[in-house]
Amino acid sequence: MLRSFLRYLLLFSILLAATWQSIAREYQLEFPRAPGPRFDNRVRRLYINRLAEEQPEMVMLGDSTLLDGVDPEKLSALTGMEISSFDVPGSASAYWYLVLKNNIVESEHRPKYVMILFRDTILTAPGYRVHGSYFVQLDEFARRNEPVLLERAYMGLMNPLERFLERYLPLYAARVQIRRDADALIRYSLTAWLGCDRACNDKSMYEIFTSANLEPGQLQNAIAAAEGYLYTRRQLDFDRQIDRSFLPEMIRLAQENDTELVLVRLKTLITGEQDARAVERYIGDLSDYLAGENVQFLDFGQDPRLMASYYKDSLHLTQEGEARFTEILAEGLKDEIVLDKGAGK
Amino acid sequence: MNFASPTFWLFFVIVFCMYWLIRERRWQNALLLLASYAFYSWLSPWYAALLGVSTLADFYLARQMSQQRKRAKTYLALSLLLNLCVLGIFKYYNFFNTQAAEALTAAGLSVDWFFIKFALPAGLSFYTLKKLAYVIDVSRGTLEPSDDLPSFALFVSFFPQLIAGPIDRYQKLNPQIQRTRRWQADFFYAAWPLIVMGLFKKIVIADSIKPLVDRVFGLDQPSIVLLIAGALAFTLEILADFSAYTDLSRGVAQLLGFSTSENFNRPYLSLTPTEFWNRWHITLSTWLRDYIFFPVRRALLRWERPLPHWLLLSIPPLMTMFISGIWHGAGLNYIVWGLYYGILIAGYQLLGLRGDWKPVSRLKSFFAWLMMFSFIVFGWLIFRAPSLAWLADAFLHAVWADGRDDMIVASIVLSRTIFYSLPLLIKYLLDQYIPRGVLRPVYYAALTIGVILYTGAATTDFIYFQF
Repeated sequence: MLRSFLRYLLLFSILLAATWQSIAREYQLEFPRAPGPRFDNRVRRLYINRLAEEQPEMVMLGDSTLLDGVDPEKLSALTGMEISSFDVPGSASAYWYLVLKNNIVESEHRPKYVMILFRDTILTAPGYRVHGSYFVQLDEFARRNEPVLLERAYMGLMNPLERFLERYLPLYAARVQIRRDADALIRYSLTAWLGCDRACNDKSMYEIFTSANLEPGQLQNAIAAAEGYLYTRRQLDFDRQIDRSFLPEMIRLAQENDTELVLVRLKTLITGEQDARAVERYIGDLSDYLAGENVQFLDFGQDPRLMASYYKDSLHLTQEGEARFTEILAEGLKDEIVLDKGAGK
Repeated sequence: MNFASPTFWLFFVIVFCMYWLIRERRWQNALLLLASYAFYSWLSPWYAALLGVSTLADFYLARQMSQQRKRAKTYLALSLLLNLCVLGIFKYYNFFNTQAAEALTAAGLSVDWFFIKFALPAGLSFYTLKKLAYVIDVSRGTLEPSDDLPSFALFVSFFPQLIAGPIDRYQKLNPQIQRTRRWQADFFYAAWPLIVMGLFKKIVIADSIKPLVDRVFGLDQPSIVLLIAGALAFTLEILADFSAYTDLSRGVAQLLGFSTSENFNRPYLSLTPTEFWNRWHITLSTWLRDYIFFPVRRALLRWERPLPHWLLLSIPPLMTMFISGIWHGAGLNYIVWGLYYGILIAGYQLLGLRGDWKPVSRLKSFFAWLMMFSFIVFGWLIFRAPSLAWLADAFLHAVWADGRDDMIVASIVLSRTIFYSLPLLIKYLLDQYIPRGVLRPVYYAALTIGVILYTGAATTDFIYFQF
């Protein structure tokens, strides 16, 4: 028994030492290293170019709920302002922070308003949508040196053991890339025999699992499971989360660059009754905080005009819902935000 | 706090150190009891309160049974009523009230209060079966009731087994609870392979397969080829997930000086449905055999009018597996899944193919295995389907393969299933052909590397938590 365990320990140590060398060489990592992922230094100029081309007075930032929820042309017509929509499905606060910091603020044409459309706790959940394919999305807009992003989205969420392993153990530090490579090997090898390369493979996955093919009940369950992260006790604790989030940085960046931040809370059908009370407490704290920072806040989270029939699932609006919400948002902007500032018509 | 989470291991290290520092058995038991309730309260303090109250009730009722033998049946009935009501309310209320509310709403009645939902306390089905076995055995007179409440409460709530078994009997656990326990290195030597294997099966295999399985079973109308690929992937996922839990549970219990039951013995190598249930979720199967199957069979044999042979062979497995289906969950597909196995067992038995049946030739064995494995995969398809309507729709209307994309995605699902089943296959070959030697430590070292590599990928709750 003892001999078997000692053999295991010895072999495990040998394997670990072997991975130490090979992984560090294969993935060009030096150890010890700073914990957290590595970003390349390239930053896409997508939104800098769009700002130069479209010259909007207002930019909307958000995820698929913005894409399905607001018609930018109609909103422009209703408010009399040039509005561009930077809607990216799967984006969240880390992405919006990077777009604001590395594209909008650095653009020659800076919009007067940046309006972020968010739901519930997403603005103070820095670790939401930052791993896996979301990391690739973030990397497009991140520079090599992003201390705030690294600290708040990654290192701040690690325990001391994870930090230690990230720093000293190549196998652990490179595990995401290794997993990705292993997955590619598994995924693409068999289909290669069928004459299907990576692009064809990815296209097939997309074609089959596009949300239009999903069973509605299962889609709801999948959304609820993914969104569950936003409704944990930790995420609902505003005082704990605010200084760990990107929100204070986004406010600072906007204020230092003469851009007014407007925050718009969207309505969802996702919260249960218990969650709803905690969410409303959280929104109360957020509202007080934003008032203290002179940030405009429009809250449609409980708006009775947005009926359940306007939703195609618990988050996304139908076309009819989109049209109605665009009108409601325009009214809100004119009555509570834009006209107060005298910037609209 | 599941066994694959860092929080659990932090909790366990604290309990482990304190437990072995205390040398007095009574205090060790008290610590384990406290730790078990703390573990359960982590999920919800209400769950722990429910566990405590139901434990007290069964302790009292069992003692009354022994002291008043004439009224034993009354106390047994009370205990059955109590346990089954609690199980029924928490497990099946949501299902039945949704059905009833839909019917009443269709009739134009307002039924808002009907929509109140109860959350199912994790592990309720498991510890209820433990307690039921205890009270039934006491009522039969085959077991002396406990006069030691803390020990009985520890038997019910023992945290390595609380959430998803194994469903060990009082006769197995109590002697170990009563025994003086001193630390032995053998505990560790027995535990570490189980823990490494359990973590690997959960973190590497089950959690890697799960996303694809969820996607296939989330499709509105998958093609047949996708359905088959998804069912095969789920066949691997559920074995890896559930047996991982059992391995971890046994490993953790072993580190505390307890030997608990095995739940799996290569179930997918079975040649008959009876053999499958002798190898799959063994502690549940033996529970069902001892408290449902045998009593039903005995009752049928004692019937005034002798029943035909085929009925004698069919009714007990049908009833047993029907109850097994209900136990697994509230939903028609669980009931149909249970009945499906009932029919299979009865059918095989009527053909003379019992659990110990072995064909004479290797070719016949192979075909018998292939047929049984196909039955198992189809069973998991019923089990995992979002609803029976979905499954019926898939079989009635779906095409074999809706274009090339379907074939490509099915290949992806299959290649991942094959890849992640390889470690289990290697383990089987090692156990079968090279039980000793250096290859085994190499295997476990490689598994440990795999666990480090997949840590933090997406650790989810164990599937059997929901039952």
